[in-house]
Amino acid sequence: MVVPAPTIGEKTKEKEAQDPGFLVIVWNDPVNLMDYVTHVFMKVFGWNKSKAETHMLEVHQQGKSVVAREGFEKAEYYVHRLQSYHLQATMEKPA
Amino acid sequence: MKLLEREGERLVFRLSTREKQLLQRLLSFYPLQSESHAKLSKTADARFDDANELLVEARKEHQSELSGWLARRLSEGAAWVTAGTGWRLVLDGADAERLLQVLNEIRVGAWLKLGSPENLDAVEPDDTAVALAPLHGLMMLTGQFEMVLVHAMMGDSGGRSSDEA
Repeated sequence: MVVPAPTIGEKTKEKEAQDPGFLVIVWNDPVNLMDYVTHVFMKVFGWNKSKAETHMLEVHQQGKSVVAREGFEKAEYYVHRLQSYHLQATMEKPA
Repeated sequence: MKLLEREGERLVFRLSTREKQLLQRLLSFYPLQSESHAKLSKTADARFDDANELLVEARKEHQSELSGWLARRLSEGAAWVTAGTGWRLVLDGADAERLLQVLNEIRVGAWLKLGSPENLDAVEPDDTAVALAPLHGLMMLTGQFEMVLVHAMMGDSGGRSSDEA
C-alpha cells in the first residue's frame, strides 16, 4: 500500500505554521552530573541511552538542548518532570 | 555502597554501618532548596503567570511527598535490612527514582547556597570560607551516592562518573 506522505507532510507544515507550539529546552549547569542527566532523559522521555546521551552532550557542549516541541500543556508537563529532577528546564516560543 | 543484586528494577545495595550513617546524615538535609524561584519560562509573558504558580505548588507537593517517603522508607529504616556487620538497602524502581531526586536536590541546593559557582574546580582553598566547607562536602558526597545509584539503575558499572553536564 502506498501512503500519500507528501499530503501528510504538507498538513503537518500547515499545522505547525498555525501553532508552532513550545520548545522544551534543558540548559547547561555545572552541577548536574552527566550520567544523571542521561538517566533523567531516558526516564522522562523514554529515550534509549544513545539518544539520551546525544542530548546530554548537546547541553554540555552547546549550553542547551531542545528536547521536545509540544503544545502548551504537554510542554508544561515536561518542564514539571524535568524540574522535579532539578534540571534547568524551561519552555519557550520558537524564535 | 555496592550493588549486590539487580532484578528488573529492584535493586539491593550493601552498605557498611558507617556508610549507612553517612547516607542517612546526608538525607537529613533534605530539602535544601527554596522552591519559590521555580520558573516555567525565561520569557516574561502573562500567559505563564498562572502556570508558574501551578509549578511552584506542584514542586511544594512533590517535596512534601518526598519528605514523607524519606521518613517512612529510609529514616525510620523500612528499606534497611541488617546483613552481618553491615546493611542491605532494598529499593524498587520508584524508590530508587525518589532517592535519586532527593540526593540531587541536596546537591543542587548546596550548589545554590554556594552562590551557583560556574567552575566547581576553580575554587581556591583560601577563597573557601570555613563556613562553606560543609556545602562542598554535601555536593561531593551526594554526587558519589548518586553515581552508584544511577549506574545501578542503568545496569552498567561506570561512565563519566565525575563530569558535570
